Amino acid sequence: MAKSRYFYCLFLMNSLINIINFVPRELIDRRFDGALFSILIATVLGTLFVYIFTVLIAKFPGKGFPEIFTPLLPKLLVKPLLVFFAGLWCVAGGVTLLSFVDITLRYVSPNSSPYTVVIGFLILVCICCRFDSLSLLYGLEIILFVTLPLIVYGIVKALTNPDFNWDSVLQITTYIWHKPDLMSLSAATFSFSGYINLAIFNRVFHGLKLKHVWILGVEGLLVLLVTFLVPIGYFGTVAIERHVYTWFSTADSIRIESFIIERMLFIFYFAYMTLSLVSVIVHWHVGLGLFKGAISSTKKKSQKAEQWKEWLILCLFSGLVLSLIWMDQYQLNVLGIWFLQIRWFGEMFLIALLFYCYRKVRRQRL
Amino acid sequence: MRKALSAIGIVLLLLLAGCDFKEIDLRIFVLAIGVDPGEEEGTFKISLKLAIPQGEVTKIDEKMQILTEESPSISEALRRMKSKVEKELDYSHCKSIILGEGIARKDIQHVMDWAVRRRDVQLIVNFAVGRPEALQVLQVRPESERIPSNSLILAMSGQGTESPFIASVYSFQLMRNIYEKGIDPILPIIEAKGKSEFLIDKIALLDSEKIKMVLTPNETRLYNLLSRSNLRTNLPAHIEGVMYQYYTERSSSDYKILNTESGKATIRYHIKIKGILEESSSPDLVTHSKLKKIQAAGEKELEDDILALLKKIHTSGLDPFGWGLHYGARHFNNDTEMEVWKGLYAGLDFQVKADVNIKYSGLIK
Repeated sequence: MAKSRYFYCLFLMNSLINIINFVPRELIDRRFDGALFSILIATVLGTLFVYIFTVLIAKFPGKGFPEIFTPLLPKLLVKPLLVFFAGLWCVAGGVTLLSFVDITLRYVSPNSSPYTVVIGFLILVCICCRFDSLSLLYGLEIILFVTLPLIVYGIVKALTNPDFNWDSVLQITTYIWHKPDLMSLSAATFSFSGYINLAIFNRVFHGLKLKHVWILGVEGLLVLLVTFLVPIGYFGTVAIERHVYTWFSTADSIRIESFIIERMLFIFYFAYMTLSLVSVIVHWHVGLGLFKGAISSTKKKSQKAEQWKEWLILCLFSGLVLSLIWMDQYQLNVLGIWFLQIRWFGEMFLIALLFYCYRKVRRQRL
Repeated sequence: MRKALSAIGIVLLLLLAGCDFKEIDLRIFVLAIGVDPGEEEGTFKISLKLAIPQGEVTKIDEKMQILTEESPSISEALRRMKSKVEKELDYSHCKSIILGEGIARKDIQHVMDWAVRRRDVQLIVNFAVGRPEALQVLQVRPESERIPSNSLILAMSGQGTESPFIASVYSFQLMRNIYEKGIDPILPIIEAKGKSEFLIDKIALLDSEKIKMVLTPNETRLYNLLSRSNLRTNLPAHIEGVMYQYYTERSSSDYKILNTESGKATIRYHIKIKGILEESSSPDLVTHSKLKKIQAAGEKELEDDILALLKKIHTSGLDPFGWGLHYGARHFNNDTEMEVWKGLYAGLDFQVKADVNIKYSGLIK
């Protein structure tokens, strides 16, 4: 049984990981058209979602989605639903993995083949995501313990740099009163969607009780503001759109005067590579659990058969990633944006489903 | 099963390590890049200053090499230079890009774009203008230098000398200020004086493409005083033909844009300096009342000098301090603010208020 603090770890991981990827790009693309207002709304909505979801799932202690849905929803519906959500989680991990392969090739080893890098990552992820949920949570906590100080150091260093242009940041904040739009709203809410991994991880939480949900809201808001505004302080309100990986460019612009390494880039890369691999592992662990829930039959099978099933699913996931490696940076971006959109509606749908299940359980009890 | 998997994993790891990594003794490090206009119109003359890695630190002897190549494109010139050396050129330690004055007076955007786009060139490369040519600046080899090009790196980064006349500009800053509305870029000027000396004491003000104006050393110092805090410099004060100089221990400056509603704007600068008296040309005792007088005279001189600098910059139509951005950052009419600012800029007025506080007369009175 896991303590509630591991829930905060899941949340923190998700909100930190959004820095590297499509979220800042999406927000920055709409910096003159209401990105900031969307961030504020997303904070409220995101915190609300976290609250509702955790309250609902606490009514099903120790149960993952497959165990909740199977007895309560029509048989014909359960399997396609679980497969759909498994696909969503698989894409979540896959998108992170693909963009990190791109980043690795760009910044660290330009000469190696993308397949070598992606296969290396895939082997690690596939081996690790078969671990049981509890050990993954312990691992996640330790990884956060290592990387969080580095990330905080990077952010403090970024903000205290005399070359940071506060006027550019203020200039963007004067664009706050533009009406929010759906794209940046769904991008910003990604910062809050760490809770959704409870779909499987709830199996190890018995009676999840959250104190101070507002802390999650504040943390998410701060991370979003840092994600969005710090690169603007470095590259200005106009030139920012020319940078592909805004945060890696930002890290590249910070010089560490008194350390073994002069470039912040490598510290940042190390922290984020570890964190994003863990996040891929967590996402695929959930995807694997959901997929297994969808195809498992009622009769007991041997251990060996289960193992083969798991590897088969992971091969499917890896195959998806490998088949998408041909994409260039613009296509990858489009995929990421589509994912962010669909994911947000998927989240709403999940909460609605959970609410329906909860109502049904209550009625059965009465 | 598990064993088989781990065996496969280990084998794949071996493959990973094998991707074409070059040993350090098979690389030459490019420390500075110079870009000049070529002989033919529209071509670049690219010069690279190379450092040759050496084994023992104690016996280090400066070994460097300069390569030059002309081509219409920067990357073409660099590829051609690969055939002139036996080792792989490595740009990841490049610290400065010197633009020849010919380039800086024509178009800097091309070179800037190249430097920011290339993945192995850092975003913290120092940009500077080289006089008379970038190549001459690269060839300078000061006597005090132990590691090739180190003197340039130390001077530009402020790790070594803390000259009040040097302003350093990183490539990400240059890019930001080129594209940003309401702020214009600057570049420091490095002059080669013979083969073993350089001089960095001027800055060039640019619009988004080329040099528009060059500040004198004294103006450069005042520019630095206004644009960063705690500039360590000496400043003069004259009383009845006697010259005093004070050293600035602490300095800070800020500005406000006032009366923007009435259609005419005033920029009010406020400079605060804490100083020590450093030099006096008369043998008279510096009493308390004298110190106060020096302070007042210093304030007056500083105010006049800064006002002259601000007016000079204003007449050039440039905005290196980012007044326009400052204005935009405090106004919510996003669609019209830059238009309004253009109107205000034309009739801009300046006020300068200096607070010089000289606390000590030095070790003697």
